[in-house]
Amino acid sequence: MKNFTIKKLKIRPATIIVFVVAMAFILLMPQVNSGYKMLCLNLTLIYAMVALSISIMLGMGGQMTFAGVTMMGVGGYFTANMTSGRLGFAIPTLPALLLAPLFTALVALALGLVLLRLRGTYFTFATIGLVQVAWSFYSMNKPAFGGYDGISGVPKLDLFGFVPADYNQWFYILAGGLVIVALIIERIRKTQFGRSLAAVRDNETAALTLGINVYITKVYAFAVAGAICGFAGALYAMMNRYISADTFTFDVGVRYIIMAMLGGVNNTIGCILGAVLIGMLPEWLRVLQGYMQFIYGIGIILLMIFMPMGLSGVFLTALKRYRKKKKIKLEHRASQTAAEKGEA
Amino acid sequence: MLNNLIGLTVNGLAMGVVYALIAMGLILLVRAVGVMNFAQGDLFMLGAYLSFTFIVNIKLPYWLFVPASLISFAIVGLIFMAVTYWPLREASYPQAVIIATMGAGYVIKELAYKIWGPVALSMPALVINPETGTTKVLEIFGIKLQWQYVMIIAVCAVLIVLVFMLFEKLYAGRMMQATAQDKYAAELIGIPSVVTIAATYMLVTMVVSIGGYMVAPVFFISATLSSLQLRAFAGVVIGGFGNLKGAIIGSLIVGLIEAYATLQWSSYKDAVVFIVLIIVLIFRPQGLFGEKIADKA
Amino acid sequence: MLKIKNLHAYYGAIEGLKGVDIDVEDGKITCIIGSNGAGKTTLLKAISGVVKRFGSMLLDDMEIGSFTPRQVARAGITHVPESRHIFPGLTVEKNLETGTFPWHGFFSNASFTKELDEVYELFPRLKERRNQLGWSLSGGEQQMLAIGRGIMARPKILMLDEPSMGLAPMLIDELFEKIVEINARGISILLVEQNAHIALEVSHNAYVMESGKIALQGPSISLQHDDRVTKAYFGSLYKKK
Repeated sequence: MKNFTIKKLKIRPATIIVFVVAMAFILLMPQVNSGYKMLCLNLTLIYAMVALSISIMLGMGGQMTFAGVTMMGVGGYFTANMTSGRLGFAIPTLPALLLAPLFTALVALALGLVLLRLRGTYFTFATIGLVQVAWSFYSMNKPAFGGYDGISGVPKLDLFGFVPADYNQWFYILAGGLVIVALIIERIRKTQFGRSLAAVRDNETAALTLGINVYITKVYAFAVAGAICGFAGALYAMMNRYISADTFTFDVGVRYIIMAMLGGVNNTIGCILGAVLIGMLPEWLRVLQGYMQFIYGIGIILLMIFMPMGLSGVFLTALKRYRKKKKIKLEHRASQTAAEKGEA
Repeated sequence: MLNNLIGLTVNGLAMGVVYALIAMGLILLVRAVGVMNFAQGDLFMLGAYLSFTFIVNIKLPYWLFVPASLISFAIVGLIFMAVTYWPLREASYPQAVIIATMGAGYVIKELAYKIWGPVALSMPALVINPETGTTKVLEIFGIKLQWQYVMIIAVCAVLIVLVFMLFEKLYAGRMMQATAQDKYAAELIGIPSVVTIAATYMLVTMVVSIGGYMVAPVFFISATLSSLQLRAFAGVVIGGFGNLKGAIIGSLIVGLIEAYATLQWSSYKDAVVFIVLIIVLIFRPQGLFGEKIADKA
Repeated sequence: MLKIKNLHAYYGAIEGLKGVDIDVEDGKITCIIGSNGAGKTTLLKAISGVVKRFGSMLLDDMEIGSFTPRQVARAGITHVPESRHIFPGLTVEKNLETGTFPWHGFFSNASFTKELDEVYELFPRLKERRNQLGWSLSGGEQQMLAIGRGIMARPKILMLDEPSMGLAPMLIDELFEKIVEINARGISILLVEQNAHIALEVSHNAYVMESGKIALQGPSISLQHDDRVTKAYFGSLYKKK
């Protein structure tokens, strides 16, 4: 298929398909869902953002980290503290929403500078430690995190006068947020930074010899991933009106990694797909609800055996094979006509 | 004060040896198959649940319980290997096996939920005070210690020594290590890798499950048991990655840190352990006993 | 001692050996030389049973053509692989110990001090480093360790895959002296080498392989001055200046 050109802007057919599907999804979902189902969908959108952060660190950078869930907490607690008034002052929700990812990025930057001096598995273990330490503070410290009771009374997001009245209205906001995040990540893939990160993933030593500052690249990636999680956490706090520590445990962190791997860790749409599957399947397949965890567990094992690149990987491989077959067919036909012409 | 301190030390050592069992299992699997098993805690939890069924539901007498449980633990180990390792042994993507263990962990947790329900179960202690029906208390030199903790230390210590001897001293253990380090060479020598790897998995599951059984009377049996594996992870790192001796000592240290932390920062004892972990990682990533093995390019 | 007839070997669908006949004489050093990709390592892998193969292999009238690697090792043929493949996390002594597995098995109590002493006598450097971990040895020492481990299996035939690889010339000479000594103690040797020069010097019989087949064979002495050996390495258009 040929690319379209609109005023010198190259658009691949795939992009158009994705755009159409996404639009359809965004327009359709609020018609079909409401109430509890919509809440699930909304949470799924938030999960998708965290899964995308894993796509950056693990998919693009090759670093397995469990810290996403903690960063989500940073953003969430920041927002909750800033907007609920429990610290004696309150800032409006929109600035809080914009400041939360910034704040989280700074925290992630600081932590990254320290932790990313460690390589590979050591770094992963350090993030496990981080999650546990953070969770301990989240659940025990009253002044900063509300301790066991968490923080309640978080106001809803006021987007230039638009305050979502129900979950359906929240859906549009969250969908918009997710689209922004996805676009940012896709953009990153194409930049110098994205390519450096991929080089680091594939062979750190080789990347070093190419002049890439491996350490700083990883730290930046960690900060960006943190920002995205912080953003997700802020939205979560404002939609849920309440935040508490059990949202930010190690087990939940594992879930996000599984979402990303399920859909295809190095593929933006894949990660979103993975989040949708794990977030929504229990609702859509009400019948099998009791067995959902089984299906995930067995599914992920099977996936790792046959297709570690996730569902998107399966799709892309099939697409490649189809294209190759087509190409061979075309070439075969071309050589046949050439032969016929030669004889004539 | 001394009373308190000694009590805490016993507590700490008791938890420490349990972490050590889990940690040993982790290291053995890392060395045998190069896999970080994120479902180790779930196997530990499963051991506790299975023991519960044997003792409370089926009410097996002790002399039957021991062989029955060991056999079932071994079978669990084989199934676990068949599902998470065998199909992935040629995998080009090393993290695939780790993720597969995470998936297996899910399945085990769900199985436990389905079979034993969401309510935390309580298991009777090994030595019970006939009057109060709760765990008996041992008194030495005027210091009161819980019998169960003492038993945990005794039994687990014995297990640790046995496993250590198997791997470091016994000929068969050496062959198992060899298979883990260079599969091709071991194959040429004729060491059957299937056998050694299966044996490792079975051994690991048995050891970890026994740990679960020993700890069950102290905690309630529930899904939270599986998160104890994180302490074992910390123990492995602090003691020195890849080193059996390190894993054991590191875990003991973790147990003690946890216990002593309650003196000062009771509610933050989790944080203390993992802050220590992070500090160790930063200043001495190879842990106490790890050897600095050069990175493979 | 080992008569190989019409051996074919496959890596999946690719045929690595295309019908090879080899005779490893008792008590002698037989060498296989040839350029990269000629099939030399494949030959050893076929004998030890780690690749798919068809054909007849008679070890003193015992057919071993369908033996598993374990059975081959027990029958008395030990394969020392290229790139050594010693066990990095075990000490020198424990590495040597693993070599005894073919005749020792998991649970027997048999002692192997005799074999151990033999190896230490042959390679005193290993004795010095007996408690050092495998990964910390130099390339030459690792090669000695690999060969020593092979000897521990009490082999009738010791198969060495490119022992000279990656070693400094002086070490190569030293190593090949030891190989001759091992042979003098009664162990037949099947030597695969890229270094044709030294292989032909120490061996009695030689086979030159090219593209999975035997291109040339004969007593090593006569092949040392044979032009065709060079042609087999560099292709038939090569002319020596």
